[in-house]
Amino acid sequence: MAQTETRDYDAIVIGSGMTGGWAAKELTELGLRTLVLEAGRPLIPSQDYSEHRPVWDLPFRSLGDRHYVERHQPRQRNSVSFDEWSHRFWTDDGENPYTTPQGKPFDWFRARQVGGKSTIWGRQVYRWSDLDFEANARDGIAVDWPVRYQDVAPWYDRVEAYIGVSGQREGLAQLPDGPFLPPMAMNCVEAHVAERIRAAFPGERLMTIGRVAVLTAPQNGRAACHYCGPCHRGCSTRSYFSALNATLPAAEATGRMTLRPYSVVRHLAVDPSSGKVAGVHVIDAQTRASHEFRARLVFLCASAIESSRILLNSRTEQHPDGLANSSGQVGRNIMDHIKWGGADGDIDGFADRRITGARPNGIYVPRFRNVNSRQKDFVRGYGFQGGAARSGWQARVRTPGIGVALKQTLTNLGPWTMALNGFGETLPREDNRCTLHPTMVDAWGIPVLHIECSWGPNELAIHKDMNVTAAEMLEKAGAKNIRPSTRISIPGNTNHEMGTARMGRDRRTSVLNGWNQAWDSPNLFVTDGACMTSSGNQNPSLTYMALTARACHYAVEELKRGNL
Amino acid sequence: MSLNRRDVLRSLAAGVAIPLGGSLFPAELLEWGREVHAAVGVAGQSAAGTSLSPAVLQSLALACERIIPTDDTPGAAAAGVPAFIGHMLSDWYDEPERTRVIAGIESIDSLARARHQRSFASCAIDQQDALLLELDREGPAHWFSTVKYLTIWGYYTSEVGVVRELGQWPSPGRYDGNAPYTPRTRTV
Repeated sequence: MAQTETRDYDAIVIGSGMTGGWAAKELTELGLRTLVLEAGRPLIPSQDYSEHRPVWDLPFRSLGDRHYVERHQPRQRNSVSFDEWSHRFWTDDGENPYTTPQGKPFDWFRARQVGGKSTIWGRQVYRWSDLDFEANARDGIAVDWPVRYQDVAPWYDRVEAYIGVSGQREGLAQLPDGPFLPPMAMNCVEAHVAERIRAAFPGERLMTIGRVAVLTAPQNGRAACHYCGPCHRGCSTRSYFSALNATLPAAEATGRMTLRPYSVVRHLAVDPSSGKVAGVHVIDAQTRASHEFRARLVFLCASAIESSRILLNSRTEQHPDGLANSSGQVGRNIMDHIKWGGADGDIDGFADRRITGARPNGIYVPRFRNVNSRQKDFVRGYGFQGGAARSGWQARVRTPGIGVALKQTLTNLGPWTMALNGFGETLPREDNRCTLHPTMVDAWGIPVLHIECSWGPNELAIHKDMNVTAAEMLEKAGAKNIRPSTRISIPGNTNHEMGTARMGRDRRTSVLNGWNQAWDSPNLFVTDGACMTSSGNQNPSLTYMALTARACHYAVEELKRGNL
Repeated sequence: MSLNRRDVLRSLAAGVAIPLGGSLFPAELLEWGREVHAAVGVAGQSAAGTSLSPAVLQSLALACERIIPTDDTPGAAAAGVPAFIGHMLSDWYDEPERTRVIAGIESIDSLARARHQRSFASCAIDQQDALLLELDREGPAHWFSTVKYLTIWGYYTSEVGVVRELGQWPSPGRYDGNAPYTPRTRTV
């Protein structure tokens, strides 16, 4: 039997990561006594961060504990930031399984720990514009967003000012500027390529420095970046934004947050008469005991797919399809960003130049397709991330020969290579969905998900176009040996999964209203990636955070008005 | 073994105060990283390489040092590469590859005796080099390719490789994307 906690909270936040951290900060600062439930372990920065641990200290010298990883993390290992330093920031696939159909793989990266995936995120932050918020309505795809840029813009301002974003103002309508900290520098080859692109595609294509949630000036007791490089292993100077580095300490400072790690949410219980969430049922990951927590307000921030899993697992006789699912849209419309389209090429010259220090950022080419013109083959568009670097010894391990000549070849830097890697918008499709597995459960006895997701023709046309335009730009920049991509990413691999409890204007076709509030359950707000109605091509965390902060202020006003 | 290493690291790290504010300078952080590594490195070295017999270890050490020799910087032997390879063979590779590579290293002596009527260790340096180049020409499917790959990986990820050879540690604490560079020329 569940043990009901009698302690009274005003709000419960499920998840302590990118959006849960923001909900905790906003709700506690607005005066609410808030319980934050985190499924995983606490992270202690002084113990768990490893960004300054040298490679020679690792047992496998960055090659990873192969047997452990093959046994425990065969899916999680596919993440770009999974390495021998950071692998404990991902879950154990054996404890947290999910299934996919034969021949339709899906990478679901999961981070159960205080701070969630905000500890290992890519930190690139780009605003959306009305090109994105109006896209579904314009194209007649899925449902219209219930918000527009002007609704979100003040919240972008608020989030960007707090997290600290370094970037270059460019004045682009499709990629609005924010209150940026000083931009990071391009290296000599990137600056050269940027100039060539600007000259070759005036007013159309532009290469700017990445907009990144890493401080280039001290802020709120967080130090400026010292360019050691691997943010995803943690940051002892708290220079990059994460829940652990910023929002959770802010919530803690109010004295109104109770953070409960090892709290795996099994389901939400509903009051049949009001439709409101009456209790949050938790299994303690360590003791396996059941607990029930109650509050007037519940924010579901468990990450897009996990949040839809909790809603589906909250099914009852009255709601056999799950909580907040009268529209039938919970679990549907999984989107990610399609990547690995693009190209790289060698840049001659600059042989007497090198990079010192490791910049945790690259360059960005904002979307230029379907902005001022119309493509025949696809709707929406893509942006490029990438950068220039000289190859190191790793690129030459197969050099023939032995001895001092080999040592010289390995040690000396190779030619400069410039890479452009596309991140393409994906469309919401109802049949890209997750459902409860009929029999399989996780280590805590909770039904797991079956995820079915594949790229459609629009995504594949975008991917093809990325190869063409990247090669065009590299050619104009004078690159040699231009190598278009030959690979397409697996859905989910970009770790931008979203869309499984979408916002909309009509309760019959969407799960959440324009305030991230569940149509069916007025004290329930879902503000992680699940809420997204379309995917844009921009890295999405900034928009999740802005929508979270906005929803928190709305919810507290509604509480005060007595509407919840 | 890895658990012990991790525990040592944890206790060390826990003993070093890392203020959450912005008062810690990068140089101090790097120093902290070095201290942690220096203490942990001692605990980590003894177990590595224990899976190899003394004879195999001797041939392996000689071969590694000829692949990445000492010149104006230390070579593979001083960088601890043989122990790293022993560790990889025992704890990273599967049994078939482990057996194949160890048998390969053992066969160096018979190859040396066939060519020069003496053990690999007793061969002159240029004879050793000629034997290894002969193996190198066998291509990527040959066992020697694994030894060479691990020698390069082990060397360039060792403290000697990263600090002395590549000059990449400590990190400069700033970013310069237009720094001067002169490739090193060495006496071959």
